[in-house]
Amino acid sequence: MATGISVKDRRYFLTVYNNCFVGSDAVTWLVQNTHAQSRKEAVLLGRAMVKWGFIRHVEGDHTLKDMTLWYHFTNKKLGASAAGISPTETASTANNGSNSSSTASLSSISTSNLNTVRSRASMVSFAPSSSSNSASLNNLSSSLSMSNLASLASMAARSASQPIQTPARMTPSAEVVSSYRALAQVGAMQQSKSTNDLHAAAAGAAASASASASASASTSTPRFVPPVIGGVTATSRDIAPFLLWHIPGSRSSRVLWLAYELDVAVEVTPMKPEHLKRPEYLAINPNGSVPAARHGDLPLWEGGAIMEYLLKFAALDSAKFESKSTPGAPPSPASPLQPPEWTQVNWARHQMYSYWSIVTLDEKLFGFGSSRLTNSTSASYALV
Amino acid sequence: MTTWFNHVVAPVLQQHLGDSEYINGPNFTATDVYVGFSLFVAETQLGLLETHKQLKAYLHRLMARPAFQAALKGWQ
Repeated sequence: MATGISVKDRRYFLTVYNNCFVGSDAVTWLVQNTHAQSRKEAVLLGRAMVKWGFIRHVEGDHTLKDMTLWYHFTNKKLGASAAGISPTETASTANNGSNSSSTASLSSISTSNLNTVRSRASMVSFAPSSSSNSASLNNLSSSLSMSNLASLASMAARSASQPIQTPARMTPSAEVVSSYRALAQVGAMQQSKSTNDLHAAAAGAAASASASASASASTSTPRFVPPVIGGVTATSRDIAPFLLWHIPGSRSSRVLWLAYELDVAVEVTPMKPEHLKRPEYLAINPNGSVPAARHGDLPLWEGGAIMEYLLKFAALDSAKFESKSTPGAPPSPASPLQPPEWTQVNWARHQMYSYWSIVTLDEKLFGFGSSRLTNSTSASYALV
Repeated sequence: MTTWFNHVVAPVLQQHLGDSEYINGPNFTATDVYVGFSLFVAETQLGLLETHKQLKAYLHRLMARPAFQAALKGWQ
């Protein structure tokens, strides 16, 4: 590898870095010499080499990236690496000794190191119980993070020309379903006054089977269970009406439409565009926009956030929800509305919204940021 | 706006929609509410759906729902 890519002294302002190479060059070399099938895979391989101390960023600031960043070869020996070296150890032993080594020896070391990386990767992923290597494997696996294991497993699968084993994909819908169940149980327990401490209730609902039994018994009553989201108590909300400030025909129609679809009782306050900037409305929503909503003591702004709140609210309605939620099973196709799927599709979008609301709040990127948005906006997002 | 819609928005929506009834398959989901209102504005205020028969049919399916008609009374 060291012979294939340009290794030379490079100057960054006043600092000269000896015998370094460019990260993107290394990636190109790994791909061209069929050590990796794609640049992405080459980066993964390079990261493993950094992790095990075969190469190192000149300042130790970066793992291998497909960028114009500079790296040294370290002079790490194979014997040391085969014994299983923890990342902390490699960090301490990584040095700039390669500066004085000859290019030829660098080449042989790093190429064989590359093979070591590969073979170790395949050992980790395919022969974890091999008795001959069990000692070093134990060291190795304890020194690896889970993400590294996953990436190495896929790499090793490819290099061993076996079918690519993508890690079992998480099933968000099942997860979301179970979290909804946990929330529903918390709500039900609160309703049955079995405990006063909601956090204890949450822990109990997640852990104990008796809690779920009592919850399913009490959730047979077809009424809204107060949402307990993000640890916020909402005792007043199960009887409070859902208030919506709405300009007919505007984007707040989305919220109204969804509320009608979900059979949520809504009290609509019709608005006109010229009312938006009046002080009495700014007291309700300082952003001066529709939709705004209020459920009990909880103010809600932004259509996406309100819709998500409504969906959780409806999902916590056990009568609608219990019939379609079996742990681990996907939602029944017969269910009229499927919050988990919706969450998957739109989650990225809402991450974006909440990101900007937080950025403008905390970092004051824009002049109007901190004055327009108050903490309640982020509180609304924290809930959904 | 028209170019953006025809070349960016519409193909993505078409791809998601496919031949199915709603955007996530045969069942109505909350995504349809979110997307549907945008399509409704695109159709009624901007007239962007004339060349997209499939999206227009999808929008009309949504507009036939009682909840839609209740929420957007007088705006169709």
